Amino acid sequence: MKRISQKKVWLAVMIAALMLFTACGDGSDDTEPTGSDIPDEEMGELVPDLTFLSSLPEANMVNYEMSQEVAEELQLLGVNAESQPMDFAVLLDVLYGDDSDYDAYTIGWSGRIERLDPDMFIHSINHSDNANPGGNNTNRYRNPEFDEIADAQRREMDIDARRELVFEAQRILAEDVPKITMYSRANMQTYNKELFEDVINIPGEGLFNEWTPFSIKPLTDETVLTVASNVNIDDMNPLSSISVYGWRNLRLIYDKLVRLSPTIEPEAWAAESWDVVDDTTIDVVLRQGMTFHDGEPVTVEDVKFSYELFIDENVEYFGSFLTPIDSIEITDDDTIRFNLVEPYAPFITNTLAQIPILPMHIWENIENPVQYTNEDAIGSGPFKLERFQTGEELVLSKFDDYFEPVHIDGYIFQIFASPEGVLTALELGNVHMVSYDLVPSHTEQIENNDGGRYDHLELTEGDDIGFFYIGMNLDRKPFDNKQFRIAMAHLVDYDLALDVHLNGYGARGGGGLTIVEANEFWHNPDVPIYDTYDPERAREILVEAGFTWDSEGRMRMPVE
Amino acid sequence: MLNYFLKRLFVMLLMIVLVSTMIFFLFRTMPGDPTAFVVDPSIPPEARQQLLERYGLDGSLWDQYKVFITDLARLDFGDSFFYNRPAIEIIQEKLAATLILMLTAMVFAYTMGIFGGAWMAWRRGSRLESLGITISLIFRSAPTFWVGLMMILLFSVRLAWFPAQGMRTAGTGGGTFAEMFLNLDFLRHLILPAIVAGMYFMATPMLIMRNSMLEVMSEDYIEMARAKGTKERHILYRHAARNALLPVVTAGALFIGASIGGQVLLEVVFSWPGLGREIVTAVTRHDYPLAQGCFIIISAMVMFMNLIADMLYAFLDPRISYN
Amino acid sequence: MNIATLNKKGNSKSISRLFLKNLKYDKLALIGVVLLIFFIGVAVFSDGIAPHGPRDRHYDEEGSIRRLEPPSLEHPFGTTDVGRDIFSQVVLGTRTALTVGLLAAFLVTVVGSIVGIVAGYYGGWVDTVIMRVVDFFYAIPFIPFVIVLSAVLKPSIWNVILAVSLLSWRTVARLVRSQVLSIVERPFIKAGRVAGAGDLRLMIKYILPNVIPLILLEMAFMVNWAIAAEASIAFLGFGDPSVPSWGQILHIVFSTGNSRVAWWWITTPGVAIVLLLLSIFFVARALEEVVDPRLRRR
Repeated sequence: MKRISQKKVWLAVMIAALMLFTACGDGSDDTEPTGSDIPDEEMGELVPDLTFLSSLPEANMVNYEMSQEVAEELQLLGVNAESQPMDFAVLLDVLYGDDSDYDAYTIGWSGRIERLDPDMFIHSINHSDNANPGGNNTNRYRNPEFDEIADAQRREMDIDARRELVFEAQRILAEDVPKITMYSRANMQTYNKELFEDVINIPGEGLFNEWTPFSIKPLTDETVLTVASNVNIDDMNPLSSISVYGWRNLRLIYDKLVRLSPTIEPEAWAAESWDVVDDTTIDVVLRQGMTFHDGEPVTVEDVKFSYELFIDENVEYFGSFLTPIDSIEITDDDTIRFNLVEPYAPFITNTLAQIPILPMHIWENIENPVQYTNEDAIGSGPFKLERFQTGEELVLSKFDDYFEPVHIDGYIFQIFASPEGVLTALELGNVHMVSYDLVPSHTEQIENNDGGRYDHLELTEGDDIGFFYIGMNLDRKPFDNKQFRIAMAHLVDYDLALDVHLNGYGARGGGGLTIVEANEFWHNPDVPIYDTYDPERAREILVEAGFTWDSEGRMRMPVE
Repeated sequence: MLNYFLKRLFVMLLMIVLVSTMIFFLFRTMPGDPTAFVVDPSIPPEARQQLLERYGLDGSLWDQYKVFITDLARLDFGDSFFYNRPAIEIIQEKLAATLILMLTAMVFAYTMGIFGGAWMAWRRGSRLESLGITISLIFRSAPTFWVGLMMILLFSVRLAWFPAQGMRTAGTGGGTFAEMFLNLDFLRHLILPAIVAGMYFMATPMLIMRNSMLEVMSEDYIEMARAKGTKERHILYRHAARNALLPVVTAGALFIGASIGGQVLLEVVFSWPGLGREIVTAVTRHDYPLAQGCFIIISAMVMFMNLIADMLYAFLDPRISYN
Repeated sequence: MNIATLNKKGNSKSISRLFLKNLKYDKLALIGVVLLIFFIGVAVFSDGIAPHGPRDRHYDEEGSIRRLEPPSLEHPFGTTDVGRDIFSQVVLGTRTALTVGLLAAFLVTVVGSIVGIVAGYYGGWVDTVIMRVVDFFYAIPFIPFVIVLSAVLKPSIWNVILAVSLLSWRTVARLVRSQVLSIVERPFIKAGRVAGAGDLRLMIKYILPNVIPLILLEMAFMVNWAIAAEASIAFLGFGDPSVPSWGQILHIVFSTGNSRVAWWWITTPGVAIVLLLLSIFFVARALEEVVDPRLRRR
């Protein structure tokens, strides 16, 4: 109670002071931080009001928080800035929509395996060709000098020369700061080490990848692995499934000609071998003796049929991998020839490693394959589908006639409504592995292991090559001003994002940082990056760049 | 009476068309489109266009509406964008899960409520009555998701008595209805969420019953029974309670209708694969056919149960007549 | 029906007198009133009471963030995972809860009463049409509707208020209508009509005073319903992230995965919700006894 009255007195004093202040405020020149005695009218125009779009807290807590922080920092500098959280779909709609109506935003690029190649992060998101509505350059960054290098690295076949170009591109980005990377998240996952051993951790994919199901071994008589997910999976039809986790399961039911090894090298799998006859002709020899889960043999006809089905049905998910194919022919009992329209370097690693082999004897009779429910999916992969209970679980058992040994009897992919439920299930031993990145608090709880509750769990860590950033619309004021962007890079508290919001599980960001350290080969370590949180320095940069503050303390653009 | 019933039924169908229309257009005004969830932004715009075609979203709004409403006439909600299966199938599965949970909770709530309410009316003014009221109102005041969280922390995490998540142990699903729902494992999963929901619902029947009992007990024939020296318990349950049940029963019918939507939050907290959770994810995923289907089914059920409640009331209370 | 004495003036005055008199021996009602006054006080003076801003981070002497600290003198309800003061958040949340509750309940009862009185008074086809409209609104599931609404509009507490108002006036309308149906049959209405009072005058001067007790009671329930609805929506993550609310606090503790390590964080907003709703229930119950004399002690 005493506190209240004190507060009230304070409030009264403050109000009185404020009134006094405003009453004689006009004449006084101690209104920091003008630093100039130019009358308002002669200053540049006001820095426009800025809205920072962000995810909702539950979608990405860190982005949500950081977006608020930056808006608050700008307010302190006399800019009318606010953060506006919104649904992810709506956010994408705004960023990729025709109107391009946004000032700034927080979002991220996930570190998928194919993005180890720098083309996506250098070219697709920074080249001016993509700086139009619908394009990936949502920062609207346009720099002819940069464009040239980005194009050159794409054409350069010599890897060391290409590396030089990519390094140079990173230098320009760090200088121009078209966006501000806030942080990268580490892939923290966990599994039950008392029940299972020999898991494989792949960067960007984590524990539940293509290889763990082959390598993992049960240590007890619990021979069925239960994998927890907090993301729903859609359906079991390879032609229509578009969810990431749907595919992570489908690729274990349906086999593929080539699989990418844990070190991302192509490895002949359902294919015995492949032979690049010439630039546009590839021969693939099918492995002998494979059967589908219903006992029918896998033949070259099935392979040809599958690829043609995917092409005919225009499966959007794989469109770019399939367009290079001109025709497919069967040359003998176990050889298929792919004729390409033009040379396509990623044919082996992408096309052959992605398209699943479907049984022709089932799919040729289906009228509308894309709409087919495929409840009893029959493939030739290492696991047979037992049951798919929508929104609950996917149950698979080991396929005994598979050519590679599998040590578990099957696995269950269980879907939870929240990470909280997964942690309880992990603790009680009801699930044995997670398929997603743990929330930072759960990582910490497992690490702290209070009272030995999590003795049976092993944490695994993987670096992510993806990153989360503040994007700015360079078509708009004040982001068209490079110095303003550099000042912005000093307003982001990188340590707060990493140490506080991520509990330290991740990597620091920086202005213009695009290819992160985790991508060792392509990351340029010698580029100076604006990566210190220093609002005072930000103010200095702005002053040097000619930004001024008017009598009401509002920031104004430099006079042109 | 039959005439009245048919008339109401007709109005109800009209209503459903109205609600469906409103829902249809409401969803179409939502910013963001369904392809955002399935197509990676790095995939070319043609792929997005293809998906829109597959979903039947490429035509004009009016064309889409015509398709929607003619399909609806055949009770076809369309295929769920996400699951690539008829939405009605998904709704059936989820509805079963929700109904089992809600009906169990309701049986619990009404048994406790009716007996508790009758007893409270009888013990009117006592300290125990105040305690009973306070407890039932505390559970009425506490949000179910919060109580659910607390119960999970206590009974699942600390004591490990009950499983905390889902409807069954991983890998035990499938099979016939009996195999799926009539077993101990399912019951163990059901108990915690059902009690949490039941405790929340309990206050309504309990207080209605209590008030209704007080009303009945002031009637003459109870006084007479008392004067005749009939045993108290006998009077309570034989005479008073029977007559006091009417409002409780009608409230019950309304309740079933209202509970179809499920306790969304309870389903989230307990990972219960019910209709409530499904509709929330369907809406956020912009899965129009599934979300529309859920809305329409829930609306239809609510309207139907309202009608039943009205009919029940007329049937039980001869003073009301429908002409 | 439920009201002991019906007359032209109604009995609002006697109701407040009776209510106060009841407080003397109805302990629960007394507790309710005291608690409610307490909460209203906290809500009105929340800016003064809350020692910190809801988003301020707190550091200890060594300069590191006070993460997940259990309650202490400085932070009576402990701190969050990023060092925010939960006490301040809960205090500020009180205002949100009461604002949503009172505003929504007010809108609901005003609309519901007008519709109910009109329907009951005119009867006939007016009544039929209105009741079908009521049916329409009964049939819309609440939470999904709010989610759509907050997607169409921006997420904000006004959505919750709007949604509660849109979907809840029907209950009040229904109850008021049935009450009015029985009132219009009473002799004093007929007398009024004979004396030359118009429809509007009859509804305002003769009928309204007699349904006010019922309306008040319904309003109390609506306050609770709106507060609970706001908490639920915020817990699901569809609330206004920039306005501190109890549901929001619970949402953050749940979605950051801290519910089992920070009991102070998950219990305090929950207890606040329980106490506030409970106090209103107690008051409503006492009101009910006044309104319905058969529930009164003999």
